Amino acid sequence: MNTELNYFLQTTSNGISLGSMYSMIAVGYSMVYSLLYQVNFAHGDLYVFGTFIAFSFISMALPLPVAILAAGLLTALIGMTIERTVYRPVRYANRIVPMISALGAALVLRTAAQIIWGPEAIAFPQFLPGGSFNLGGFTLFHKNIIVLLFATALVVGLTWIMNHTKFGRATQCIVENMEAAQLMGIPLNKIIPLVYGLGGFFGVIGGIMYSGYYGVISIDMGIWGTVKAWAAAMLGGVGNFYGAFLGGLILGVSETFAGAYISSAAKEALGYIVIVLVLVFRPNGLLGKKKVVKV
Amino acid sequence: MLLSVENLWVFYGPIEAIHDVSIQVDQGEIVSIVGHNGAGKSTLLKTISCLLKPTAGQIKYNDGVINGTDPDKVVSAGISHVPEGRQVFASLSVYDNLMAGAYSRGDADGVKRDIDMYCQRFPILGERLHQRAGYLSGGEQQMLAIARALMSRPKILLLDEPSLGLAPVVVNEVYRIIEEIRKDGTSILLVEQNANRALNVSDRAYVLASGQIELSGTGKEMAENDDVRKVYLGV
Repeated sequence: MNTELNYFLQTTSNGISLGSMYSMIAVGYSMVYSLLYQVNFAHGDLYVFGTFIAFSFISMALPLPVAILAAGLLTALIGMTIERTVYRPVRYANRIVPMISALGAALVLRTAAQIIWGPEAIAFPQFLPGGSFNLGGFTLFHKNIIVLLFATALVVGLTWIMNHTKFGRATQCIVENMEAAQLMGIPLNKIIPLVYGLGGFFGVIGGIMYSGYYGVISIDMGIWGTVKAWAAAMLGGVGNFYGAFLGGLILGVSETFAGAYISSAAKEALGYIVIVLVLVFRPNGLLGKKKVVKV
Repeated sequence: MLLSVENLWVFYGPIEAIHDVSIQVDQGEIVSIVGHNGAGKSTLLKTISCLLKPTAGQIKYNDGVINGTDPDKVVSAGISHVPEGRQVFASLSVYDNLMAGAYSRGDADGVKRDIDMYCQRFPILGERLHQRAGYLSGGEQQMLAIARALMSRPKILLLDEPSLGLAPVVVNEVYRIIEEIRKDGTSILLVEQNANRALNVSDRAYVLASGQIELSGTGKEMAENDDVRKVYLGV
């Protein structure tokens, strides 16, 4: 196999892996975003906080699945607390108000993480298996496949929950029409916190995969995580998990290609460029539908 | 007394919407509230459903006070509200809309039976059970909104402008259904600008103007009252 092609395939598989992790973070983000249709600035810092928690649990030599699950549950709890203290009191206020209180929550989480785990990037255990397949010169790592499978399972599972459980259907009603949902007897103050919790849970899974894949965790992952998740969710179409998944993959692949063929600066800019282009040309995203107009 | 609203005051910020209103609905009655656009009719229903909080006054249901509780508790207690403009969940299927209406119930078998029953009673809903509710016509959406509200098996149904924007023949159908629902034992509190139709089916009625009750009486009395005829029936 010639070097050019090999480089191309390597870039593609790296891009798909990065995209899978963006997808996982974006799915949780999309879920929360669709409830109130506002940028959730706390999502990035929440999932990084949770990933730090997982780091501490793994450092304590807890078995990996237990550490991941416990970190996910704790983060869900923090997400629910944020809903209760930061979002609920301003639920019916002008939409700029919850945005600002979310910024405040993000700042609290970021600072707390800095106090607990320090400001430096730290090494995260690379728990994903290290093996690889050799396909005629091109190396496909096992972990490339694992993150993609994990992200797929997560999106399929979450979509199933949304369409086939009472909780999922209630969430869809709230997303579509909060007042009518209340008239159906759907308790907002039970369902909405659960959505925040679930969004945090899936965000952490994405964060742990990311840190496990690259072997590093840092507080900065929060800010760019919010941007990437926002870009991916918007690109795919907000409220549509397959959209967030697709958006994450497209963003990951195109970023990796920009980094490999143009420059690493181009890679960093791409998330922001995507947000601007989507907002200008396709505000409903690739798979997003306009709300059906009432007759 | 099934439902009684006592000396209710409701404000939107500094703006007064309901001014010392008292109304009652007895078991098995159809009671209507007529009045012009902006008189406070929808506000009154939303306050009964606990979507809005009153500034003063009480709402009693089965002798318990319900204002100050959450909307979901009101539904569980047996009050169901068909909002103005139908507000079906347009992107969900007809089936999922009906399931949403049954959210407060725990009896899966009973829910399934009720869905079958409403599919027979409103054949169009049966035919389109798995289509998006947004694709239904206005009249069909009104049927769905009513069936969805009945899925919680309410003792009293609040109906906000059920004839709004519908063709006369569809309005006839809606009113036929309203009388059927009452025959099944569910009381109805009906809010309408279309005073003529509402007064004809009502046992009792109130006229609401600028947030105050201006007149009340039996449906027949009100339909024959000269002031009502002049101001609200346009004759």
